[in-house]
Amino acid sequence: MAILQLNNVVKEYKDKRAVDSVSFSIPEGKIFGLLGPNGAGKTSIIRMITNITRPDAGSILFRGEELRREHIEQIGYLPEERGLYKKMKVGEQLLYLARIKGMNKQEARSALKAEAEKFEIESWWDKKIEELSKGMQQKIQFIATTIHNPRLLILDEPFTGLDPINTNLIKSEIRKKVDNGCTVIFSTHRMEQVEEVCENIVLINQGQNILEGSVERVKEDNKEHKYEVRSREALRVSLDQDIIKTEPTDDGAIVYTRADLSPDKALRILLDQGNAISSFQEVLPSLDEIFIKTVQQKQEA
Amino acid sequence: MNLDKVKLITSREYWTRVKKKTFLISTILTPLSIVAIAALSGYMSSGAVSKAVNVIVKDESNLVRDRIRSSKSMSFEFSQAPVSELSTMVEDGRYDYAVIIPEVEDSTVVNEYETTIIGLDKPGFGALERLQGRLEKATKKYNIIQSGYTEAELDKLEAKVKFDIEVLKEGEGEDVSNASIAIGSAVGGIMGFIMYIVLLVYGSFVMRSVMEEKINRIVEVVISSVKPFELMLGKILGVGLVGLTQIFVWIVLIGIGMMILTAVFGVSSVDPSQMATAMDMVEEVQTQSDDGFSISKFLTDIKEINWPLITICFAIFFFGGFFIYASLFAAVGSAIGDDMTEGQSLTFPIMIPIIASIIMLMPMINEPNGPLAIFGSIFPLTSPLLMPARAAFDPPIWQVIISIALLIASCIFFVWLSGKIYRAGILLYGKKLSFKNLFQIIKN
Repeated sequence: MAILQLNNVVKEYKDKRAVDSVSFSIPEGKIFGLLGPNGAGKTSIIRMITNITRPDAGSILFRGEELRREHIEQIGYLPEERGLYKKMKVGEQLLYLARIKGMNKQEARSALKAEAEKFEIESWWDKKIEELSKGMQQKIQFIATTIHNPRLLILDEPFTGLDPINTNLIKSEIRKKVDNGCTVIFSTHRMEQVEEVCENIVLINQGQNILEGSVERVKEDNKEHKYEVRSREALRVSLDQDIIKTEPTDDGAIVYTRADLSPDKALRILLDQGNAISSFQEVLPSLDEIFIKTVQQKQEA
Repeated sequence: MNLDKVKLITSREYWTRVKKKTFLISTILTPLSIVAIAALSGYMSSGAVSKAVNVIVKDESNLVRDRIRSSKSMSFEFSQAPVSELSTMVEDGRYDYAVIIPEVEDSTVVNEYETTIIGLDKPGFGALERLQGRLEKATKKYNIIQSGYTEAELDKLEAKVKFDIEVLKEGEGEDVSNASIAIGSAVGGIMGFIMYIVLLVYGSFVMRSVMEEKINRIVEVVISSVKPFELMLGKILGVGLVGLTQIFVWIVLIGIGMMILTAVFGVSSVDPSQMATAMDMVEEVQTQSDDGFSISKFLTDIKEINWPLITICFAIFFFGGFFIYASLFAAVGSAIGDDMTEGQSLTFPIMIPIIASIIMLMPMINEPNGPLAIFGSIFPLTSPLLMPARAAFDPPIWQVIISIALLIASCIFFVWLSGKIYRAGILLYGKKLSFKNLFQIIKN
């Protein structure tokens, strides 16, 4: 079942349609990528999911029910702009943020104790936020976002400003959450991060949903029938209606075929032409490329 | 509305502020310094600091002798010795000054004379003035006797005017004393002033708190868990309670301090109304004490003030006024962009009625039932400051009721209005909202 379902959601600000009839659904227990360039409408969509604002039209369903305020307690949101009360102590702050999410004092305390051990921050407990480094603050914020064990975790650019060690720490924490049944919405404009972690994506541009599906599916649908071929000797390829184009590389060539030619047939044709091939690999487009291509096509249309 | 969350927000706002060092310092230091100032002036006027001045007077024709009074700060002795001998006495340090009164002819009225003062140094202005006053008074008595009256006869001619004020008001036939009006003015002034501080200082605390949350973006995390209105309400309540705490601690500490001072120095030296008149004027007060100042009278006058009305008024108008202004300040805080200094043009319209109220306060106390006072204490933007002040003068109860009704109505209106602006404002980054934007938000 989809944990979240958006149906023709519209959000308008006074002179701009920030979200223009967007629909997509987020399968439960997976990492979902909400992609798009800056200003595409990602934050507007997230704000509607987190109940900060309401859609002007359309509906949002949380596990099949119309999204209500009570659902908020099952959602954790890490906004892009990091914010904590600078003058407050780490412990007090985490306790407060846990409690406004609806946890009671005891629950919050024991949960925080466990998290503090895991993230090795017990010694920071009585320090003020302003005394901590940026990376440390981000860890605190991650804890604050996930402390109430949300079913749905919304992370807006979670890795910006983190060093590789902490990035990995947070990544593995995200994985653990997913293994425990949590769904993650990972919002970013950096597509390459998505390819490693997300199973499903939606691509938003200028308030509209321009692509949606599993990463595999999207790549498959947008592939250019392009193969990287390596050979010890120079490749000899004769072009016809099957093999459309080649581009020589240092140790072989990039070969383009017609759209409905399967990879095994393409390889057979190359072998039949007497080439000694050492490697043959289909080149799938990166999400970045897909995005740029799709946007250009839309503009031309 | 989720009251538990409002409570949570309120307690965070309250405790983070109350635990701050600056709060502790200002809460304890302010009353301490007030008490310290009072102690200092009490100490000074107690005569412990100023040395008593000893004067030796040569008064051959008995112009002032027997008619001049020695006091703690200035004592007089008389001598017929020659001037040169008096000079040596001064030089020896036995007396501070020698005063030579010229000889006058018997049975004449002396209107003017010159005295010589001999001293090692120039007498201070205060001492000179005191000396002059006493000599003049003693000479006046001399003249009276020379004119054929006795002092007793003169006392009989003394006329004094007292007021017996009867207020024609339903259900009240009690007399109002002169002093109770003075006390009413003082209480009214203090009430007005406290409200002024609370509205301005704590109102802008609310504004700053809103701006901080907006600038460091934590507001997004918080309002994904609580409604913006709950956050605003919790904030206003929290900061308001901090204000109440501070005022309460101030009153208690000042009260305790003053009680200690009273025990140490005695009432007259600590009572601020007397501080100016302390020193030698004490004499005057003492002679009038049967009808002027006495503690028991002061206490009955204080009782005459309508304390229940003042207390209830203060409580209602404190909360009402604070909610109106704090919510407006919150709205402004949310409408200001990322720059803390941008707020001026938006806060100004809020400050105007507060400042107007404090300007109206003094004229109102002078004429507590005049048109200005009636208007000011009923109009909801000025009533929080002016009605508690006016309550000391027993305003007609129907005016109080109208004022409270208007206050509550506008309180609801302004909190609603500010809630709308706040909800939109906290999520808009970058640009400061113009008045036009604000109207659009309100219209939506």
